Amino acid sequence: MNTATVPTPTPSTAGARPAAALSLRGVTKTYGQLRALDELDLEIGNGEIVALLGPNGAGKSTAMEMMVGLAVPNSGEVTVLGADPVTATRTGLIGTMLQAGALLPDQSVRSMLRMLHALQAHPMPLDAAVEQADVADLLKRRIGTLSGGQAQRVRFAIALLGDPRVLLLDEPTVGMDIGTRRAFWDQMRTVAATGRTVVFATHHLDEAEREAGRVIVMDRGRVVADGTGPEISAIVGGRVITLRGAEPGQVAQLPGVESAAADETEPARVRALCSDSDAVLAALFTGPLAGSVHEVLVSAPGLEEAFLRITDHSDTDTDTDTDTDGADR
Amino acid sequence: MSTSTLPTSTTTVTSALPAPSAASRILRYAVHTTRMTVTNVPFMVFTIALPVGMYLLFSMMFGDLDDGRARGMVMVNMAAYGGLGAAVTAGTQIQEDQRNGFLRQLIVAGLSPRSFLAGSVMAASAVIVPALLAVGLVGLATGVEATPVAFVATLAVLWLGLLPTILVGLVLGMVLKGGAAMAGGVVTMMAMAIFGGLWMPLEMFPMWMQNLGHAIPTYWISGLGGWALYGGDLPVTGLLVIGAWSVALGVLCSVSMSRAVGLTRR
Repeated sequence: MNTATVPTPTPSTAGARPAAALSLRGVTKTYGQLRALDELDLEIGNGEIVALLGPNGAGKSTAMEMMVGLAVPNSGEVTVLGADPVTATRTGLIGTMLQAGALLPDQSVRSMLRMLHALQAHPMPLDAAVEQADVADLLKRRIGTLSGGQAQRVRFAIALLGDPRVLLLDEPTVGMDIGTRRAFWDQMRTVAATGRTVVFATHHLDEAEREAGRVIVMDRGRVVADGTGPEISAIVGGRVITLRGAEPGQVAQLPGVESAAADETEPARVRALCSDSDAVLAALFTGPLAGSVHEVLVSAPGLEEAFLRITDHSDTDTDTDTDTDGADR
Repeated sequence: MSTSTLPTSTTTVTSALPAPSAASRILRYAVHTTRMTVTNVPFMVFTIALPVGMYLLFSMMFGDLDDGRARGMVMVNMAAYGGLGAAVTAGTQIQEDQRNGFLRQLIVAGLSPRSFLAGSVMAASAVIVPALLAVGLVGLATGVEATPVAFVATLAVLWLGLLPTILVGLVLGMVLKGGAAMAGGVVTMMAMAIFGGLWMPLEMFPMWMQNLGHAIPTYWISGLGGWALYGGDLPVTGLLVIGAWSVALGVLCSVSMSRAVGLTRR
């Protein structure tokens, strides 16, 4: 997708074209009846900062596990900087922050970090990882006593230990409060500025939009949208307007309304999905409905709903084909 | 939508850097696991104080029998018992940590499952040494007569003979979960101590228990220890029994490893 204008490759051992940081081609993975990844194609270039966005069960974690060799695809191919995932892991090309990655509860943070540090192929100095993940104050703590947010910082330190070219972070800010979350991203930006490729999974649209140069939305094991943060939020960032006093058919005619129907939980209300809520409101209060509508509410759709919208509107997105997805569950 | 970041720093080819060999990773993992285990105070107290205390008790009661050679055999048996306890407990403990999913962190750090297994055996082998030494040294201090060579040979034989008990611990940790693994470890350890004749001579028990005991490695670990200490005929059967157990458990470990241990998400 973005390979056309790469300048002459630097002296690389890998032939003419530098290998993508991450490449998944036609990757399928099933767990019993569940199709976690469905012919997934994904290519991420060197130095990109990419957010993987998607609801639970979209396949984000499975995709990341494959990139580090913890899961093996049923079919398809995964490479990391041109190497297979197991080799990439052993040679320290890729580091990862596992979602809820287990730690050793009886050990001190320092003790556990020392062990994992010793196993790395070409680690950064332990002190550097400690500083970059901001865990210096936690080193003497017993891991079992850490809060959720503190444990996440320790997992971030683990991911950095190997000084990896490609850094995977699976829901890194889970369990962090707002302040910690902000501090975490400050640290992350420093780390990313060193030219590493960073891929993080998240549920938070705002995090994805703010921190990533590219946002990939996954659903049901496929990529359903792929673009810059503003592009993606334009798709998922629509508004929902609900109101009383008008028929769904009338509301649907208004400019800026994509669809309108009776609200499932409250049939007397009309629920309208809007691409441009300002235009809808203007039309609503200046048009013929102005006298009858009341209790007008404007809200952001939940992320789950936003994902549903993307999947439902996928005919506008060239590389998706979700017709068969529904049958998989 | 090319992110046009092509700073020179991104183009350094790090893949050319050699990774450490599997052997050195095994060793490093084993060293750190050993460090973590020996700094576990309850573990060390349990694996050292109990066999030393039992040695003192039994040697006081029976030590002078057989011209004092009974004291030496009590030392051998209690050292074997201490080593057995350390081996089984360490094995289950190491496995338990991995069951929780920590093995995934190790693999992502570059350790292969096979290396993890090898390193675990090495670490468990290391943490049984303090128990063997403690009982042995207390034995020397309380009247066991042995030449330095015989003493060292005895401990070395016990140490090598305990290999299958380490594997028992690892297998238990793989097959059983959480509290069941710990309980299973204690039960297995006691059964192996009793049927191996470590606490009381096997000859005192009914015939069926004696027959069973002869098929269990702990009985022969004790026998080999006695042979190293006092001489006599080498118990060849013992070598075969211990070898057979080691091979069978080793295979079981590898098989369980490839499918069971924490590779899948919790």
